[in-house]
Order: sequence, then C-alpha cells, then structure tokens
Amino acid sequence: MNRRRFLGAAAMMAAAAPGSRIGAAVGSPQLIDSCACDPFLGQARDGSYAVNPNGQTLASDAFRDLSSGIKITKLKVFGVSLTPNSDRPYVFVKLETNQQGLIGWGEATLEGKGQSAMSCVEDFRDFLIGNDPMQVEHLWQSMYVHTFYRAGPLIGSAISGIDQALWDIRGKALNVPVYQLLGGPYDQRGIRGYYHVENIRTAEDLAHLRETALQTGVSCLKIGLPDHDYEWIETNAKIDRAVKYMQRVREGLGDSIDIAVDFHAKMGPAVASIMIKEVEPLNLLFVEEPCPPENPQAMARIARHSTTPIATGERLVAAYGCRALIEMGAVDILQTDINHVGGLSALWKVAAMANISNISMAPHVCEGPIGGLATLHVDSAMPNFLVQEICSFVKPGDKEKIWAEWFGFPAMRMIDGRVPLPAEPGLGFELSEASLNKYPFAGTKPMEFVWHQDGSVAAL
Amino acid sequence: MTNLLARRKPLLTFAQPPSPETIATGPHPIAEVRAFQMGSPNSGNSGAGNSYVTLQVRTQSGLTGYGECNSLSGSDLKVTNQAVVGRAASSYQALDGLVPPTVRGGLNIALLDIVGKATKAPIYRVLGGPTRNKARAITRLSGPSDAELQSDLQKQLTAGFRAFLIPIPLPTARNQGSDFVRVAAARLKAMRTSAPNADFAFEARAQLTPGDAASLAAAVEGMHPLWFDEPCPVSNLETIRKIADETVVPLGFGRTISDPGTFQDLLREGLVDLLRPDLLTHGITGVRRLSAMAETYYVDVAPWHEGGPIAHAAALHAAASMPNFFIAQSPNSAVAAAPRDGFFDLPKGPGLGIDVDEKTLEGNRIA
Repeated sequence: MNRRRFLGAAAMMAAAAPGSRIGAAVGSPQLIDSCACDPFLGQARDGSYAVNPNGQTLASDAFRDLSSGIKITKLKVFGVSLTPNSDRPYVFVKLETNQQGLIGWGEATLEGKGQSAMSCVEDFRDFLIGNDPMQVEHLWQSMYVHTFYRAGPLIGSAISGIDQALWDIRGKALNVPVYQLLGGPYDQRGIRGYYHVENIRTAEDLAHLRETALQTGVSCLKIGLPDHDYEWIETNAKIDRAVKYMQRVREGLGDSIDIAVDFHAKMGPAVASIMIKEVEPLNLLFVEEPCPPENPQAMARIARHSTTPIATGERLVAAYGCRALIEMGAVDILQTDINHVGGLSALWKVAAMANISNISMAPHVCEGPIGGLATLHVDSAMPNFLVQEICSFVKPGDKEKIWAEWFGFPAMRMIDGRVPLPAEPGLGFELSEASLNKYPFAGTKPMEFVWHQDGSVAAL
Repeated sequence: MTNLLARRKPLLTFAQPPSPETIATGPHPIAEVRAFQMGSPNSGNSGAGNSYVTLQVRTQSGLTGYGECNSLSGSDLKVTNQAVVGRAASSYQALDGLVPPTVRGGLNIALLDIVGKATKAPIYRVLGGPTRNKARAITRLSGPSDAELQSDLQKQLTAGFRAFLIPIPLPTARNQGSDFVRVAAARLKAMRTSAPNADFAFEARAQLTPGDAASLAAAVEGMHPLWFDEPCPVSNLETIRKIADETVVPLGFGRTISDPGTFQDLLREGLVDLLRPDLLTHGITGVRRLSAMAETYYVDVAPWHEGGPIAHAAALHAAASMPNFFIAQSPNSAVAAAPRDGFFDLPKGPGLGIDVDEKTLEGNRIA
C-alpha cells in the first residue's frame, strides 16, 4: 500500500470515531506519528469539517433547540467596478436565507486587492451555508478563531462583508433598523460627518471652502499635506511648508470649522513629532496617522510630544488590533473601518473598549456605500462618537449619482452637516443584483505608487 | 509626559454629553418606570446585598419590561422618569447616560426585555447570540463549619451543580501565616476528596491582606481551583500584583468595581484572570462592553449579582450573548431553576423569557 492509499484508508477509520478530528485518535496506534496537517486526515467524511466530540459539524448545529429557524442558503459575491481604473472595485456580499425575501448585503471591499477579497469571502461559503444567520457573534467568533491565523486586512475584510450581511438579515428578521438593536440613536438628527478636501492652493480656494462649509452646515473638514512624499528624516523646507500650509488653512477657515489633517503615515515619528508640535496652537481636531500602523510605541512617542490629538486605526483589524494603542493612551481618536475591522460586530467592540479610556471614534469608510450605511448604525449608538468620514463632497459626483441610482436615495449624503439615519429595517436599503450588472468587475488597479526623489520607495 | 487631559481639551468641545433633546422618540416610547423594594432572596452567610429593587418599565405601546437594581431611592426614580418618559425604549444605550448610576444596570435589563418583546426574540438573539447553548453554573456553599459545607456540597451536587464557591475560613487576625494557610488548604482538599469530579473556586469577599492571599494561593495552586474570587480589596494595584506575580491561581475581581476604567487597569497590568462585574451595576450592555475589552486580553467574564429571578434570567442572556463568558453564579435555589449536570438551560421566550407575577411586587412600591 502506498502512503497515499494508506492514509486515505486511515482517514476513513478516523472518521468512524466521533470526536477524532485528527487521525491520531486513541485506539489508532498506527497513526500515532501522523500530524494534523496531513491533507488526508484533517478533513474527514462527507465534505463536512470542524467536528467536535458532540458530533457538531456546523457552527449552529449545537443550537437546534435554540434556533431561530432561519438558515443561510446561499452566498453570492459581487465585484463591482464603477470604472475599470479603480483601485477599489467594490466587493459586495449577499446572503440568502430559507425565508422568502429575507436577504442581507454586506461589503468586503479591500483597496488594491479586489480579487483576493472576493476569493476570501468565497472561502467562507461552505462554513456559512446551513448556519443560523441570527447568531452573528457566534459565527463571527468561528470565522475569526477557526481561521487559525486570526485576521489581517484580507480576512478582516471578508469577515466584515459577511458580518454586515448577517446584521442586515437580523435587523430585517426582527423588523427594526440595526441601530435600534444597538441601543441608539444618541442623536436622531443623524450622524455628523466631515469631508476630505484636496487641492487647496490659494486664499480664494480657502475662502470659497469656508463659505461652502458654512452654507451647507458642514462643521469639520480634513486636509492632506502639501508634499507628495516625506522621508523619516526631513529637510527644513518640507517641514516648514507643511507647517505653514496648516497655519494658512486655519487662518482661512477660521476657528468655527474643525480642521483635521491626514498625515497618511507618510513619515515616521521623528518628523511627525516636529510638525505636530509646531501646529499645537492651531488646536486641530486631530492629526491622522502621523506614522505607520504597525508600531503602537512609535505612535505613543508622537502622542507624548504634543497636545495635538492623534487619530489612527483605519488599517487595524478586530478589537485586538486596537488594544495596545488604547491601553497606552497613544491615541485620542480611533478611525476604525467597518469594511476591514470585522463589520459592525468588531466596530462596536472597538468603540466599547475605546470608550472605557475616553477615546473618541471617528470611523473611516472610504470604499463603497454598503459599509458606509452600515457604519452609521454603529455610530449612532456610540457614547464616544465624534464624527464620521464622508468620502465625497458637497456637490454630488458620478459616484454619488450611481449610489443614488442603486438605492433610490442619496446614500451617505449630508443634510446640514449630518447624514440621516436609515429608517428601514436591517441596514436600511434595498439593492437589486440587476442594478450592479452595469458595473461588472474589471480587475483591481494597484493603489498609488509613490517614490522619493532618489527613486526609493515612499509611503502612499 | 504630556497631560492626557490637556491633550483632550480641544476634543471636549465636540464630544458633548448626550442631550435628552436629540434622543429619539421612536417606537415603544416609555410611559413610566416603577420600582419595588424586594427582600432578600438569599439565606445563610451571603453577607451584604440582602435586598434588591425590581424595576418595571411600561411603554405607551403596552409592553412591560423588568430589571433589577441593587438599591434605588425615590429621588433617583423620579429623576429617571423625568429623563426617559417619552423616549424610545430601544435607545437603551443612549438613555444610559441620562439616568442616575444606581438605576443604569436595571434600566438596561428592563429596556432590553422590552426590545426583545417588541421583536419577539430572546435578548441574546437581539444581541447576536446565542454564543453557547447552555450556561455553566456555580453556586456558593454555605455553612459556618467544614461539616456543614460538606453537607451542602452533597445537597448541591444532587441538585445538579458541578462547580462551587467555597468560603475561605477567615483568619483570626491579620497576616496569620502558617495556621491560616493550612486550615484553608485543608478545606479545599477535603472538598476535592468528597467530590473528585467537581470544581471549586475560593471566595474571600475581599477580606484578606494581599500577603495572606498570596500565601494561600501558593498553597492551593497545585489543586487547580477554578479561580480565587476577590482575594483582597481592589485599591492599590501594586498589592494585587504580589498575588498575581507570585502564584498562578487565576484571580477574579469585580463585584465592587463600578468604574469600567478599573477593569481596564487590572487587565492592562495583567492582574485579573476573570472579570466579575456586578450585573445590576453594569447591566447586560455594560457587561458586554467589558467583555469586548476582556476578549482582547484573552480573559473570561463571569457576571456576579445578588439579585433575584430577573437578574438570574438577565445573567443567562448575558452569558449567551458574550463569546468569553465563563460561569453564571446562582443566587440561590429559590430564584433559579436547578442546573442539569452543571449547566443552566437558556431561556427561550421573547425578552428575558420569564413571567413576573405582579402580585409579588404589591405593597413594596418605591415612591
């Protein structure tokens, strides 16, 4: 018997013994030296997996007496390209159930990695089918923990899309908007938002921006920095230009408009600390991502140097990803992204943990509209909510027109500085598959490439 | 190091406290909050917490939700009514900041009961559970002597419990050393011998010095108690570090902690292995918020309370809506159905899933 045959037979024997997820079960001495990573032993029997001693194969199997009666029957993944040149084609997830018309939508968009995100959602298909969609916390745990490697941005985005769809289903099944399940809203007028503005060059630009903001009730704006790239040690000229730019913006916009500045992790803690120190008198709302996200100690170093509030967190996955920043007091504001962190479940947990440290929430969501609408529900139930990023501007562009066409209402559009809360059950929208057909998946363009003056790699 | 408060100063301008005006007047507006003083469901050596308050919230839509508070004054009840009447019962999180701390936990439970009844779902389903199909149970053995504890052990084993809190024999004076440690360790050992398949946690009710607690923990760590409950008061965290560093017995703290920040300090410093927040102080939502934090430290939560049947039902819903729940402590057999082979069944009906006989509340109303 060759090795392959022998192990195949062994796997069947193992399958006969309940509870023996791996082959090395008691009473199978010939398998004592085999390892769980053997492909023929890890997944026994009829295509099912994850067997426990109670014969549980699906996450919901042990809950028959407590089941809602609803089961997930189908998972569909949609890659949606508004233009073929996009670095962030939307990845939408649709879950169908055994109840007529009861479906849920979620978003798993991952910038620069559309195809991977779609595949990663597909990897969860076998896991999801047959489970009770109402048990979102339980399913979330299984997706995250049983992934073994836990989650980085790719798996985090896939779980996010599925989690959002599960919340959508639960809200619809219970016939209430999701924010009511979360205990909101703190403010029934809607969610305070801010716009990100680029290309402000002249005093006239600033005057116009100020007028527009005041007229439309927008109370907060975010700007970038004037140079395209920054090194970890910088020249006097570039530091000066950045500081003067921020000063000019404060002078131009006045004190009544909150100003945030996105450093976009372009530099390191040394340069960021200098700039942030210099702009202390401007009382900025926050400086965003003053250094890259991997090292909380580096972030803490910057925070300790200045009274300027520090914001970060859009690239962090699960509440685990934010723990160190929170406990070190390295941030004032977390910018968790519902499309990467692990959906509503994880965003709620980050906000809960942040609130214990009196850290505010200004969630990021710069992908498609489903994640945007989902984040509003969680925002409305956060005691520590500050402001929501709205990746759009006062005048609707092509993207906004398509969103309005999909949903039948101007999704994520502010009225008097606030995005109204969806009032319908679930996440609060209807979306037809047919409406997405006009925008078939056209691949993912890479995110921006940025190089320093000498041709070396710079942060985007 | 820059003062954190100074750095947050610009933020405080924007992060306003919740305003009653902005909170929704949605479906199921609250009509009235009533409170009823209840006597003790406990007997024996339970110590403090021998009374609790049943909270009854009625909505204008005709739904009634129940919760329990540790205590509630007439004036706090009045403030509560002024703050919440007319507001949507479903905005349970947003209303939390508007009411006095004494009522928050109970109001949270009562409002979730209403949300569950309105959506015809058990509270754990409203919250994304169940995360488990039954809740591990523990009960406190009572009796002044080893003989009486042993007899209670047999009684509770028959009732279906498989895990027990054992009161430590109190030292006759501070820093007793050898004699105290020997007697206490012998008590645990005798319990182990009588019920080899049961599990035990030591309960000190914060009555030991850190030194005594560390000595006792060191003496019993080889017997693998589930955890050491409230070995000493939570004040100077550096004194708790002594127990946590010198021994590997898991430490449980929380029944007297009202500030979630203290739990965060304990977790950050690695001084706690099991959170024991008071369910009636924090409510189901407050406990879940603590659980979200504890999860990132790989730490379990075992909510504690000394309330009655409503609190017990709420504890089971909390258990089934957290991924990192460990064990539910039964107040006593009068208010809780017996567990089956060490586990409580979960409620299945809408809301809390229990019926409250209004007659039991009569005559006790807090005005």
